[in-house]
Amino acid sequence: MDRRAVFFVIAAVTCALLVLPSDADLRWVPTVMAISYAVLALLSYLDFRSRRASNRDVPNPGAPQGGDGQPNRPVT
Amino acid sequence: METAALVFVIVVALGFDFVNGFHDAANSIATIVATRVLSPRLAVAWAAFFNFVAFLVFGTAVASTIANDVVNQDVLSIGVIFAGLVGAITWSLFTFFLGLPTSSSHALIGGMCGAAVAKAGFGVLVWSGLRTIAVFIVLSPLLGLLLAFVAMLAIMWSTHRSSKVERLNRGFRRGQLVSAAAYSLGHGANDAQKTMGVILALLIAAKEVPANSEVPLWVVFACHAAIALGTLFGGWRIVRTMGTKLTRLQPVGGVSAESAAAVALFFTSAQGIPVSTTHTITGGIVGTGSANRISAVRWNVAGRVVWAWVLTIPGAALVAALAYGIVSVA
Repeated sequence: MDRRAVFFVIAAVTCALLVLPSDADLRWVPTVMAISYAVLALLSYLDFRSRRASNRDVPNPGAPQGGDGQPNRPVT
Repeated sequence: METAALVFVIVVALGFDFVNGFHDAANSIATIVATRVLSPRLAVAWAAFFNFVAFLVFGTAVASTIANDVVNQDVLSIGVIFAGLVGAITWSLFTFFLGLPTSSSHALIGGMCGAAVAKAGFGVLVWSGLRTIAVFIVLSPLLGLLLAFVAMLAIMWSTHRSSKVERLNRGFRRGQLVSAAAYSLGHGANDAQKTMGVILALLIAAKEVPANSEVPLWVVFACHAAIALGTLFGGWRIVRTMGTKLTRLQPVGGVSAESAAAVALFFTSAQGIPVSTTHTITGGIVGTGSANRISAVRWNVAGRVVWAWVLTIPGAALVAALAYGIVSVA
C-alpha cells in the first residue's frame, strides 16, 4: 500500500471539497491544489509500483541459500 | 477612564503580538542555527529585522480583514475586544501547557467571535469573511506542504547527478539565509497585521478613527516592533536548547520548507487572509519530509494539528464569551 499516494488523494479530495465554500475570486486556489494533489497521487502510485516491480526482479541477497551456495530453486 | 481602558487594551494587544514573535521565533531561525550558517545571536537578529521591515513590503489587507470581516463593527467595544484578547491568550496558554500546537491567530479570531456573540448574538458574525478564513485554515498548511514537496522534488531532480556534494551543500547553506529572511518577512506581515486589525477595531470602537479607515502608521510601527522584539527575546530562549533538538535538519530541507511557507504567506497576506504561520511552516516541513520517504513524517504531529484546527476557534470563543460576561458585569 502506497501511503504517500493515499495521503495525496485525501488532500486532493479535501481541496476539492473546499472549492464551493471559497470566495468566487479565490476559487482557483483550491481547484489548482486539488488537481496538483491528484497528479502527485498518481505519480506517487506509479513510482511505488515501479519500485516494487524492480525490487521483485533483483535477487534478494538475504534469501535462504541452498546447500551449494545457490539460491533455492522453486520445486517443480 | 475610557482613554485609560483604551491604552490598557492596546498594551494587552501588543503583548499578544510580542508573545506571538516569542513563540514563533524557532520557526524562522531553527534551520540556520542548526546548520551553523549563522551564529544564534546573528540568526535571531536576522529574523527580528525581517519581521520588522515586513511593513515596507506588504500593505495592511490582513488588518482590514480582522477589523471589518470577522464581526460587525457596530457591536465592537473596548469590552468586547478586551474579552476577545483574554479568550485568545487564555486558550493559547491552556493549549501550550497541554502541548497542543494551536494557532494564536485562530484563537484571536475565535476570541473576537465569542465575545461579540456573547454581547449581541450570532447575527453579528460576518459569515462571508469567516468562511474565507475557515477555508484557508485548512488550505494554508496544505499549500505549504504542496509547494515544499514540489520544491524538494525539483531540487532532487536537478541535483541528483551532481558529484560536487560539498559545493551544493554550501549553496544551500547560503540559500537558507534568503529562505529564512523570506519566511520571517511573511511571518511579520501576516501575524503583526492581525494585532493591527485588533487595534484598528479598538480605535474604531472608541471613535478615535472613522469606520473603514486605514491602519494608522503608529499602529503599524508598534505591531511590527512588538513582534520583532518578541522574536529577539524568544530566539534567545531557544538558543539554549538548539544543540540537542535540531541536529537532524539538512540545509536543502530548510530551504524547501521555508521558501514554500514564505510563498504561501506572501500570497495570503497580499489577499488579506489571516492564516496560521505555524501551521503553514508545519505543512512545509511535512512536504519536505514526505519527498524523501513517507515514514520520515511524524504523522502524530499532523494529527494533533488537525485537532488544533477543530478545537481552537470554539474553545477560544467560549473563554472569550465567559470573559465578556465577567467584563460586562464588572
